[in-house]
Amino acid sequence: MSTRILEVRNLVTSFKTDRGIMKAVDGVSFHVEKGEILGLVGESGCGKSVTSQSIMRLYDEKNLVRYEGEVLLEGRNLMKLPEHEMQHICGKEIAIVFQDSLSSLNPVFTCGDQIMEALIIHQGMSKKEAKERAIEMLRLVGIPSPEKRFNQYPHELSGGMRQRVMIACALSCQPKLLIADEPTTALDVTIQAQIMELIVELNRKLQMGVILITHDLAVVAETCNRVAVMYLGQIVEEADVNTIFDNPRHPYTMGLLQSIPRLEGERARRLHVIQGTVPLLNQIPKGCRFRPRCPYAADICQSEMPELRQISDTQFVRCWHVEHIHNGR
Amino acid sequence: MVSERLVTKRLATEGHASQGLASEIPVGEMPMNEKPASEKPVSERDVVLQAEHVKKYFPVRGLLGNVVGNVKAVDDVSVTLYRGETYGLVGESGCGKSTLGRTLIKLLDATAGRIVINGIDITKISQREMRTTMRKKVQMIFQDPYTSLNPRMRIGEILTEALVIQNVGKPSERMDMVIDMLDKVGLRIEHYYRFPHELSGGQRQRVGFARAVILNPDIVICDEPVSALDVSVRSQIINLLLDMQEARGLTYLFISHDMSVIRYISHRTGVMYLGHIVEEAITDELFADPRHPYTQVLLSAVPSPDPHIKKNRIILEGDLPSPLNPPPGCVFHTRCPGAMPVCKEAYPPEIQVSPSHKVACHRYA
Repeated sequence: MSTRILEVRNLVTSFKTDRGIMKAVDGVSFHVEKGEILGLVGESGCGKSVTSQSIMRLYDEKNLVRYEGEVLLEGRNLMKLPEHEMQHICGKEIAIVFQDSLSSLNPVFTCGDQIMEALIIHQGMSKKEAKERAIEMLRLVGIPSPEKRFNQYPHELSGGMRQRVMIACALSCQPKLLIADEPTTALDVTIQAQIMELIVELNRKLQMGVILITHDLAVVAETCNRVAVMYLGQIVEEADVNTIFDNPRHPYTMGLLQSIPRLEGERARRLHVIQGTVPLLNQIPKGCRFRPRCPYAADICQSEMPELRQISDTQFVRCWHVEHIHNGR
Repeated sequence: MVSERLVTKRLATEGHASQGLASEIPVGEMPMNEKPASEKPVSERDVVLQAEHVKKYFPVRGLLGNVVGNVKAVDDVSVTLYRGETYGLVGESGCGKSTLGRTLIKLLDATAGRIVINGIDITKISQREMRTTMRKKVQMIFQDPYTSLNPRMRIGEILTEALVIQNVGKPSERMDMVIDMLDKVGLRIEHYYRFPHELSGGQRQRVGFARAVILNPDIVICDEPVSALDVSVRSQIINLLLDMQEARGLTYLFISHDMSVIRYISHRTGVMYLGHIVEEAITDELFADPRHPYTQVLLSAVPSPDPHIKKNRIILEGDLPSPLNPPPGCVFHTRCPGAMPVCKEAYPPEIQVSPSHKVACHRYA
C-alpha cells in the first residue's frame, strides 16, 4: 500500500490577462508522503503559491484561469471533481495556512467562531461539541488560557497568536494534507521558531503530510524532509534535504545557497550574487529558463529546455550540464 | 549613448532655466565625484554621531486630551557611531529600533537626551535649521521600496528633487550628477525616465539608496533595507551597500531583524529590547560570545541553512510586554530564563565585559 497522500502530475495553471495567457505554473510534478514535510522553495514570482492554491483550486474565476494536469489526493483526481464536492475536500482533507494572519482571519468574528465554522460544516458537529473541540484545538497549538481567547477577535491577538489560531482552524478537521504558505514570514525569529516547532510537532503527532512553502532556506533546512526548488513556474531541482544542501546540482540552487549570509563560519568579504532578476512571466526566456542568469549557460541551453532528470535515487535536476557541474560550495 | 546623454542634459538645463539662483552656490559644497573619506582625517575614533541618554516617548491621550501615559519607544539609549563603520541595530518588531533610527536624525524630535552630529547638538536646533544645515549629512533609506518612492515622479525627478531641495549643484549639472549616480548604483541611463512601478523591488531599492547617497551624506540610516527583497536580490543590494561604503567612507546605522544579515554587514552590533540597548559589542565578539540572555535567545532562534546543525533552542515564554507599561526593573525579567529577584527592582547597570563589549544585565554585576 502506497503511503502517498498527494501526487501532482504535470500541473499547469494559466491565467488570462491583458497581456495574453500567462503560465504561472508550467508542468509541475511532485508528491507528498504520509508524515512528510515537503519544502517548496523559490523567490517571489516563481509560482510556489500558485501551485499550492491550484491544488485546492482556489482560483475559481472560470473564464480567467485554466488548470491542466492531475492532482491526486489518495488516488482521487481533484481536477475532475465538481465544485460542490471540492468544497468538502478544502478545509476537511486539505487545509491551508496563509502568510498574513490578519487579513486571512475574518475581523468581525471571534477566533472561536472561525474554528467552529469548519467543524460544524465539515464534521456536522453541534455548536456545543464544536466549541469544546475548538478550545481543545487552541490548547493543542499552545495558546494559553484558550477559554478566554475563544471569545477574542483577531485584532486582540499578537501576530504569533493569530498564526496559531490559523493553524488551529486548519487542523481542526484533521486534514490529511496541510499546506503552509509562508507561515512565518511576517513573524519575528523567536516567534518563528515557536511556530515551526509547532508545525513539526503536529506533523509527527498527526502523521499528516505538509507542504511548506517558503523563500527561507534556513527554515527548510531545519524542518523539511524533501525539497523542491522552483524557478519561473517549473521545478528545477528536487531532492532530500541533506542532498539539496550538501550536493546541490542545479546552478540556481547553488546560487541561492551561496548568496545567504550565515551565522556560522567565516564572513566572506562579498556575498555571492546571482546576476540579474527573475524575468516577468510574459518574458520567459526560450530554452532553459534560468539561462540568462546562469554562469554555465551554453548554446544548447538557449535552444532546448532541459527535462527534470533523475540523477540519483532521490535527486532530480533540470539542467543540461548536470554531469559537469559539481558542488560549488 | 553620448548623444542621448547630451540631449537629456540639455532638457534638464532648460527645465531649470528660471532657477538661476542655485548656480551661485559655491561648487565646493558638492564634492560629488570626490572621495570624502580622503578629505577628512580617517581614524577609528573619529566620531560622527554621539547620542547620550536619548529618550523618545509618544504621549497617549485620554478622552479629554490629557496625557494619560507614554509609550516609551526609546528609553535612555546611548550610542556612538564612528566614521566609516556600520553599526547594526537588531531586535524584534516593536523594540524601538526604527524609532531610534528616526530620532537620531531628527525625523522625530527626541523627548530627552543629546544627539551630537559633527559637533552640533541636533536636539537643540529647529526642524528648519536641521533641514537647511544638517539634512544633507544624514540620510535614510527605507524598508519598503514600493511605498518610499513617489509613484507619480520619474526616477530622474526623484533624484533631482533631492539636489534641488538641498541646493546642490548647478541646475545644468544636476542631470549629469543623477546619471552618474544611477550608474554607480547599478542602474542604467534609460532608467532616468522610468516610473517606480516599472522597476523591480531590487531596482527600486537601488533608487532609494541613490537618493540618499547623491547628497554625499556622512551617515545613512538603513531601516531594514533588504527585508522586502528576495534572496538573490538581497545579496546584490548588500554588496552595493558595502562597495559604496568603501568608496565614500559612509557611516551606516543598519537596522534589521535578521541576525545573519547583521552579522554579515556590521562592524559593531547593538541588540535592542523594549526601548533599551541591552548588549553592544564588536560583531564577531557578540556572535561568538553573547552575554545577555535576550541575545542568547535571539541567536538560538535563528534557523541555520544547514540541515546537519541541530540547535539547542531556548524558547521564550510569552509575548513582548507593552512599551506603554514596561515591566519595572530589567525590562526583560518577565521572560528571562535566568531572572533573579534583583531584576524586578532595578534596571541593570551597563557592564563592560571587555573593552568593546557592553551588556546591561545583573548577572555580570
